[in-house]
Amino acid sequence: MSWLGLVWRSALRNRLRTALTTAGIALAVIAFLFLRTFIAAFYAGVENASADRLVVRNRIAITSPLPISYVDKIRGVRGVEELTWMSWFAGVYRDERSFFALFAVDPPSFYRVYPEFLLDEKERRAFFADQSGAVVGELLAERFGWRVGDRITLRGTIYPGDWELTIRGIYRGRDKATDRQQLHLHWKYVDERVDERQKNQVGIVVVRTAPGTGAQVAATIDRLFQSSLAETRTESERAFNLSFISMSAAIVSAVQVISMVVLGIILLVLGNTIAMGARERTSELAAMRAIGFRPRHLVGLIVGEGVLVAALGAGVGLALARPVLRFIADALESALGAFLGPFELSGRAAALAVAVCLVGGVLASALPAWRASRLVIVDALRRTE
Amino acid sequence: MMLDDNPIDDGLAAEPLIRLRGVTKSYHRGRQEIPVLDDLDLDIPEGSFDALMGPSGSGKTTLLNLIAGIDRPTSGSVEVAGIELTTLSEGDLAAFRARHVGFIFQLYNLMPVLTAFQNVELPLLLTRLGRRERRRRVEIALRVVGLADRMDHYPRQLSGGQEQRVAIARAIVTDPTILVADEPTGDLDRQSAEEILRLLRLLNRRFEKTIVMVTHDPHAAAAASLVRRLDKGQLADQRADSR
Repeated sequence: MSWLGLVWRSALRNRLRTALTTAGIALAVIAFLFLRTFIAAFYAGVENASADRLVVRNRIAITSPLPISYVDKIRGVRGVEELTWMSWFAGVYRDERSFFALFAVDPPSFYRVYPEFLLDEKERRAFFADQSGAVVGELLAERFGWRVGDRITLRGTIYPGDWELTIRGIYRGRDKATDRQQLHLHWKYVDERVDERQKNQVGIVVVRTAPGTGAQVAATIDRLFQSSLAETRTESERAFNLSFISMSAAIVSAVQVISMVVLGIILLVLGNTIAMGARERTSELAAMRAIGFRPRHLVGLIVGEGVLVAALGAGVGLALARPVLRFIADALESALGAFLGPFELSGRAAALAVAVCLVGGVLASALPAWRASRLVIVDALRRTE
Repeated sequence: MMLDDNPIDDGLAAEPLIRLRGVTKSYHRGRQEIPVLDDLDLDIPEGSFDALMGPSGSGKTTLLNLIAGIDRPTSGSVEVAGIELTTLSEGDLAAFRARHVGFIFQLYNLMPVLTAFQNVELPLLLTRLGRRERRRRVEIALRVVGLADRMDHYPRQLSGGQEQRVAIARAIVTDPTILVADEPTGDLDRQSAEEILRLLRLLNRRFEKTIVMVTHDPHAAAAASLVRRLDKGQLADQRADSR
């Protein structure tokens, strides 16, 4: 028998209790990973933002449009390599719960500025040629069972009326993190059908610049429209995405706090389990001290048990996390749709969960271990004899 | 004689292995001081088998604890195997116990999650012995107590007498200088108690182990070579066994 064997056998003294504690830790790890993944998915747009893309929007509010005439003016700014424009198309498919992101875009320039959306050449040509055509992300297509050629109807909210679209292509993502739940339709199709008040307007203009020139180009664009009817605010795509989700920052912060609280609670449970185990065998620990074990040996034994149970829980939690997260992600997709980015378990979150568990195992067993190390042998033996 | 049959140095036999001088021990209950041992002198020679008897509260277990190094006297000197215990730090006392003392408790104090073999091996984890040597020693100790065929049994699978024999194997596996036993037969039926006493006599006579045993039971005390009686913290008289 080795020291590790002794720790292992001691940890399994009360198998039901150890199993329940392990299950509790595993559950906490899964909850922690879910919440962390949720936050990561929330920030996916920020993390995946391109460094050389700028977003030009109306200075007043993100919901206020810009005149289409700005596009040509911006194109003339030095340092602008490519640009495209788009409008947020708030359409409803089936019902409000089936939410996903819809953008009215200028297809040729859009796919040049956003090379992460991969489209077959044949489908690209078909989409470009059909003004009432649409392209959808592969996850979105999978979600609704859409195939190329399908006709769908959207109910417009910003742009009222029923909008008939034919799916001309299904795009893939260049990277794992690319949002594959968007629908793209022709900006021109929308612009031609809306009333006069909404004509010739775009939501944002997206500019691709030469590396390292972003700040300068942004300043030039904003100067260009200073004192005009629609002043602009130009910022990096990352900053734009960040401001877009900042409205939900309080929720994200709360989720972050809850994720740590979940682990904190379970570590208290672990501490209680270890403390109960140590208290129940006071006489055994006293006998160990009597036959020559030193206080540090008992500390090692009890802390070892705590870390072992925590590690077991973390291991089980990690093993189950991926399928459980997949299941939750599927369920969430119907509720939140494309509001979230890719729901992928990150290695960093997994490492953080394991580290917190191991450190927690040490902390949770520190007090019982300290108590055991201060055991007065004679008193402890007398209590049981 | 050591368990692995190495000869013992006969020159040490004449010196008392355990020597107590002017030992007093008192406990405090609140502000009240309760004397347990009062200016006690005691010499126990190597190779003896002493029984400590006396009424409850006479101080016999306290005396045993002092000899074993798990308690400290209020004043006086406790010397075992030439080592003055009162001057040792907690760590050194633990090392002393690991090397020189084998404990036999009334309630055995075996670890229920370990097999008989693993329980006996437990004190050897504190040594630098390799796995093979540990196994050899454990097997010898279990053979001595007659449980070689029960080494894979857990305590719950053993009778009380067998559990106590495993505890004795654990006590002797490090080949300690002294064995201290606190009511070793107190929780056993007559037949099991007799087996344990026979085993202790064997360890004393054949393996020349010095044994100090606390007991209430005159029948158990009769197994010892010397019976010392304590009363109110002092040695009252002693009676040598005629056998």
